[in-house]
Amino acid sequence: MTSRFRRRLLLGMVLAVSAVVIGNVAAYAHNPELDLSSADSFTLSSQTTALLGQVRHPLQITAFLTATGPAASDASYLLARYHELNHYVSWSVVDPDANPGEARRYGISAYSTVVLSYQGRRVTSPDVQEGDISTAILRLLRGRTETVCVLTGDGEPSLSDSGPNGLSDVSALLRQNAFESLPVDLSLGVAAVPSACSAVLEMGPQQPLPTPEVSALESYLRSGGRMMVLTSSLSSADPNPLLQPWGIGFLGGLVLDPARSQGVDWSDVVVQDLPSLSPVDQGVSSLQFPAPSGLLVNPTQGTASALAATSSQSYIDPNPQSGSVAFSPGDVPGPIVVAAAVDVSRVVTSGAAAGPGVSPTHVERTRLVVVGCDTWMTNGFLNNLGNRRFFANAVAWLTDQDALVVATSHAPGDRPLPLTPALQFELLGITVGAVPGSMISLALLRSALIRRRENRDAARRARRRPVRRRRRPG
Amino acid sequence: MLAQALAIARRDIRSIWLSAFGVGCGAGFLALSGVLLVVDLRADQARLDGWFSPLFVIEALLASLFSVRSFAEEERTGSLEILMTMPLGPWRLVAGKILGAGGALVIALATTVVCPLMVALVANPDPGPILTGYTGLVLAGLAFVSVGVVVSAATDSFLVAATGSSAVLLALWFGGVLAGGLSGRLRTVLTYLSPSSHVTGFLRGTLSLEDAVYFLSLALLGVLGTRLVLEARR
Repeated sequence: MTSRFRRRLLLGMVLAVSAVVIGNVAAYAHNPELDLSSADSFTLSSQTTALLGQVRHPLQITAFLTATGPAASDASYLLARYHELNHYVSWSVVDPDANPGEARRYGISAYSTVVLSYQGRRVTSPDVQEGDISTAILRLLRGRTETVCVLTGDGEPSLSDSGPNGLSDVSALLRQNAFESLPVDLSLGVAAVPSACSAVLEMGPQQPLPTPEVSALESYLRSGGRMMVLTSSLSSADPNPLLQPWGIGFLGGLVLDPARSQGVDWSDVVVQDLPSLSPVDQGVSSLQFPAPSGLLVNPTQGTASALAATSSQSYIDPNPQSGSVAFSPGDVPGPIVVAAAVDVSRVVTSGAAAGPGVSPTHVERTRLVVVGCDTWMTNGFLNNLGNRRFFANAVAWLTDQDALVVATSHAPGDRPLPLTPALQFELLGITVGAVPGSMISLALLRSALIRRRENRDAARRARRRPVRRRRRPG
Repeated sequence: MLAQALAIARRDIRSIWLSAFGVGCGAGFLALSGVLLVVDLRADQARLDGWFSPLFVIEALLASLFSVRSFAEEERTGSLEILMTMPLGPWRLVAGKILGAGGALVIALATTVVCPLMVALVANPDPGPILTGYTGLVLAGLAFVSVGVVVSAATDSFLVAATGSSAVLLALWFGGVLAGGLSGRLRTVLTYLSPSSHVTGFLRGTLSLEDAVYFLSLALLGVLGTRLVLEARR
């Protein structure tokens, strides 16, 4: 080898190593990923990406959870994704058992609590899931908490009820999206909706609303209130006095949809026609509305739009108690509107100007979302199809909030595998005993066959030699 | 060129897997992976990331053992002289040796497929992380084997080559863990240089360009390093 060749070789090596270094730096800086896990568990949503784009100061995320086990490694991996998207985000996982002082300092009382700090503000997230963490970041960036008033006192399901008919999931969804839910009982003769309410939710009254309550709500809506009304013909409450001034009529009856329903129950309707361009329908492709009733959209003022409608084969059965589900002459043919929204703006003169350059007028904007079904957002149905997203969109639209971070978190699913002693024995028997044993047995068998062949060849050679000796003398 | 490299690779794969050493290593690897599977499943979840994770470390040790035969064993038995005098270029020899040890390692990895298959028979594991886990094992295996071949080319002692390459790989692996105690740019660099920080994505079911580039770079550096060592030994 000439020294010239060696120099060229070395130069080539240096160039190759430089290319390797540059390639690694480039891959580190721009790192496209392909998530093959079920439900893209570790791919942050576009909402989170957009949210992280607004973080322009150091944001510290501290997750308090047991440091070993799959939960901790999943959490670390997820939090690292946040850091990759924005290097202002730093994160750490603290084991509260190993660092009780740190846990006390943050006032941590439950595992899996996440504390986020940003510009002197601090919020906690109830779990190490993308939805929870992104919501906490949203809350930090927003810097304020909206109050959503939930009406009670007329047989509505409870926010604290964690049963299938309860609203605990709605309560959690509101909390995770930086809303405070405030139960308000207007049936007790309270004169007006509290001024702290950014929106009022009437989620399925089971008995008629008292007149003072209807008056208070009418007054609230007239003065630019925001309200969601969920109603059903299965209850005795009549929402029409509240809705008709805004161009929406409650038709009652039971909507049956033979073309789009869950299983054989035609009244468990799957809604796939979401014709509105309203933000409430954004990102929602289908809804599950059990036992819905029909609505009539007749805008008299402002803009009213149908948010969700059933198929053309559906119809309203005005007398579901009759027992017959087949279409009959008295039924109202579909498609039937089962959810609608109203958006009314008007300029109101408030008297004298408050100061120089300040207009004496202001815009009042009433927003109303009406759904002819009062069970779709209960715990039993909220997570079905697009129900959760539809609810969150509606609350966001009513309160003029940015798009919320909704159900974007797909935790690696629960995949139970109870390791019984019998299963453990089977697994060990096959992986430690049978298969390696077979490999060794095959190797031994092959070795034995080779040895046998060699011995046979040697014996054959040994037999041939004497024959040759006998022939030579002849 | 490829045909000659593949011929060397085939010869090495046969010599490893038709020897008591190769079969013993392979059977031991599979038996250990079975024990690790049972330990992982004690969480009562059909998740295999806790199984793949230690498998990467054991794979590094197995790669050291398989790659030792590339040059150190050839030199000990005297067959390296014959190989070096054959009319094939040094790049082909290096490529063939790395592909041979890598191929033998892939066969050992293939035997462990019985573990996820058994889990799939009794539960419903997520197939994505299993697919990426094996992708990671193959990529990491190629890189580990390349490092092992460099060390093997530098010595004629089987023992020195085996312990040397194991030490290098384990130092790289745990260097990343130790870097956790540091801060700043040094921590970032040391963490990046460690294979341990590049297997996490494979365990979770994600394939990232960064991880693939890292392992392929390590493999390429192994090829270059082996070529340099061979050149120096001439």
